[in-house]
Amino acid sequence: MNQEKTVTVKSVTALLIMVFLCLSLFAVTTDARADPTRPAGWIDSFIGTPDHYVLQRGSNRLPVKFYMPVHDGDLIIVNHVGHSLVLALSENDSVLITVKNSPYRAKALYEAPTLAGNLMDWAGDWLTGLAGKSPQRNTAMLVTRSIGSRLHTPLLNDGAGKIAAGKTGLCLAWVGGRPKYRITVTQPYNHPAPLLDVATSATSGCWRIPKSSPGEYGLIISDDSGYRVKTNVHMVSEQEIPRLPQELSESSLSSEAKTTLYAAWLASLRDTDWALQAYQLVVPLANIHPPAASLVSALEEGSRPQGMEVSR
Amino acid sequence: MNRLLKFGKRAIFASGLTIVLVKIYTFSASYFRLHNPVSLISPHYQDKWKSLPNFSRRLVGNMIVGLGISLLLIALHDTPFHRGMEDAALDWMMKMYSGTPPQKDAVPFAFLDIDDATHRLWGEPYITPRDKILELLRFALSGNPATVVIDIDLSRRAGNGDTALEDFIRQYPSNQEAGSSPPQDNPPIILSRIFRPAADATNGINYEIRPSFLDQAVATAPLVYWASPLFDIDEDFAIRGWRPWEITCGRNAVQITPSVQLLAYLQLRMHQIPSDAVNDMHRQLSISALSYCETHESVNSELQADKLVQTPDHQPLIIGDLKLHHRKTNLSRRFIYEVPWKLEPGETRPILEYQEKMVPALSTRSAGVITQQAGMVDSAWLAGHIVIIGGSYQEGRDIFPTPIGQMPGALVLINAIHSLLQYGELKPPPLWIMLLVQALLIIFISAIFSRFDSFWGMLASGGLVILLLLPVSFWIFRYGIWVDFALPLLAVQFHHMAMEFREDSAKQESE
Repeated sequence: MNQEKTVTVKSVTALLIMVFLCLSLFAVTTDARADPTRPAGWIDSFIGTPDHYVLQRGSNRLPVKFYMPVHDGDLIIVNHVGHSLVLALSENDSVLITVKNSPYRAKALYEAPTLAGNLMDWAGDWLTGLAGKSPQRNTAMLVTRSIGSRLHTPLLNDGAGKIAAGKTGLCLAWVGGRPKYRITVTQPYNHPAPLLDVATSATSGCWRIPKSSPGEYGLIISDDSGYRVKTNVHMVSEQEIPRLPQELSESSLSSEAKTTLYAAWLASLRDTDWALQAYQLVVPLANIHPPAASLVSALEEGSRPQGMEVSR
Repeated sequence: MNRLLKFGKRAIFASGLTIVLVKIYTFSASYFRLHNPVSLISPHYQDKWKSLPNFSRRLVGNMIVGLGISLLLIALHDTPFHRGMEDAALDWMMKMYSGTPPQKDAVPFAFLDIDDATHRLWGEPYITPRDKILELLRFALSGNPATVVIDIDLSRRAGNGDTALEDFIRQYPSNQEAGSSPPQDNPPIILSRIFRPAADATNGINYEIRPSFLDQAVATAPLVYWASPLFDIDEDFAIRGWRPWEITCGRNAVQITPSVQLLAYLQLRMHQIPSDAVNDMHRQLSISALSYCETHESVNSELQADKLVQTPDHQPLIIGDLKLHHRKTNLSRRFIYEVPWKLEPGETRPILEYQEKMVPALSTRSAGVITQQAGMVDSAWLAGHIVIIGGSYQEGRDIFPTPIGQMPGALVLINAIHSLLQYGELKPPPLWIMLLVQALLIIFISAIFSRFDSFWGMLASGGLVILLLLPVSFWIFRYGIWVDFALPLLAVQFHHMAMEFREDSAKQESE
């Protein structure tokens, strides 16, 4: 009789375990299936114009826009070398899509916090506290608002700048702030090693950098007071940079004058801000060609040449 | 020295109080042992009491102690001691629910954030440029949202763009581009009203409305409203309490400014035109407001920061089916934070099913991209959202500590609106339910104590009670009232241990 009872209990237990496992498996597979209506992120930024990209949702091809929601299973295609699109997967994570990893299939990777997860985190934090890990501290700036010389980058028009990729030098300038300054250029894909990380007391300078591939690089300039200017430098392929006008290349002017005029013309273009690229061209000439020095000063102050036309 | 004296006094008071409570308990216990209260009743019932099993007699004792403590806590309700416990419990509960999916149908939010990158992109202006605000407002409206809230100081002129913004507000909604949403669907625009400390305040901190260059435009616009972004700050500087309305006394009229969250609630949940809601509030609050203003004539145009003008006889304010008691009880003045500012790596916002679409509960986007890439930014995703235009940049000084971490003022507003939409005004369950649940819990733990009567058994049963109480509290005691249940149970456990100890001592003495 006892044996029968034991067998029955064991059978029921086994059955319950099986039911539990099946339910868990069902839950896992349900989650794993792509849900075409579920948001998987949004298009955070892209270089160039929307026609360099395609967002394919089912059989529909949608024009790409900033902040456009991307659904689970959407296909993102980058159809132009040197262009890239940043897909934000969450508030803390994004992926850079270029020709190399295109077409990219979007997938909802993350889940919202859960009660059980928060409870475990809290218990974990409490235990970490017992182990003596010092808590994270925030910094307070105790100051009444005052007018000072703020750190900013008129050369970049206080926005992002574009330059040619593959060069071994980078020239930058900024105004305001308090020395000493620190300049950091971070690489795309959250690569841990910065492309450049230097300190200087001057408000401009040129530094050697490794040959870089096209992409979006982060630029951070910080001063001694802790203020930071954070922007991007888009490294683009040579083909994307407007070429030296034929009339200018065929003229009998000196090479310094040609380069300075080309830089001034580049900086004057309205559709894209090429001032940073123009700056790279004229800085090496500033000490040997006075018009180049004038252009350097103008660009550093945020001025742009206007109404330039090329004619014979 | 003074501080030391104050501390000493408090320490003596606390020790004295503890000694008195313990004495009362031991005296009562000894009294009941010596003068068995059962002797007061007839011998027939005495025999019946004695014939009762040990468990039943213990249970009655536990009930007296547990329910007694419960009643004591109810009596102490809204004392600083009880408020402190309730706040700590509610804060912890909110941390546990932070970022989790909402309990019932929720409305998605969009935060167009003037972050540090945007602030720098705009040249770090001291006053938010009005042309940029207009650009953001046009962008938000083009997405056909449910409501747009501008949580930016619009009291001062900033130069460029003032007139364009003023004209837009004055002509809204007739200035909406052809082909955009039909007129009846034009969302209301809620602007944060600025209150400033009164220069001639005579008692305490008093505030008055700071006039805005948009005042005249808003007065003529049928769908644009001023709303109050004032909240209560606690002793630890965290924002926990909301204020449903503010009353200021002008030279000619009493002015009632509803809060941002109240206007948003009325528009979304009850489909009530905000101006009707404001009229309703005026009607119900006018008598109290007038008498308040008459008594404060000497401090003209002020509201007292720590006081809230109530309806006559403290009746609840009724707007549609929303009843706001907003008495000075701790719970009714609080709101639930569930939307954190920052997420942990690997986490995302909860996904809601809203208007037959799956959308994140909150979408935060940098405002700089919208103004920089005008025409190339998608706004269709804003459909049906509550859009808040605000700032998180450091220099804006609009970041506040809350029970679930620091967050910009705009996020506090989002949490307040979300809380009102999800939970309405917070109120504890009725007294009879609390006592019934308490009684059931006492029966349960009395049964556990009788089953496990060794020291280790008691320790394990104590742990079990806590383990059981936690999920139960997550399930039904979301309003932080679980301490009201935990403390009596703790008292029952101590009482039980004392009884065990006493019985053991008596047994040893008799041996």
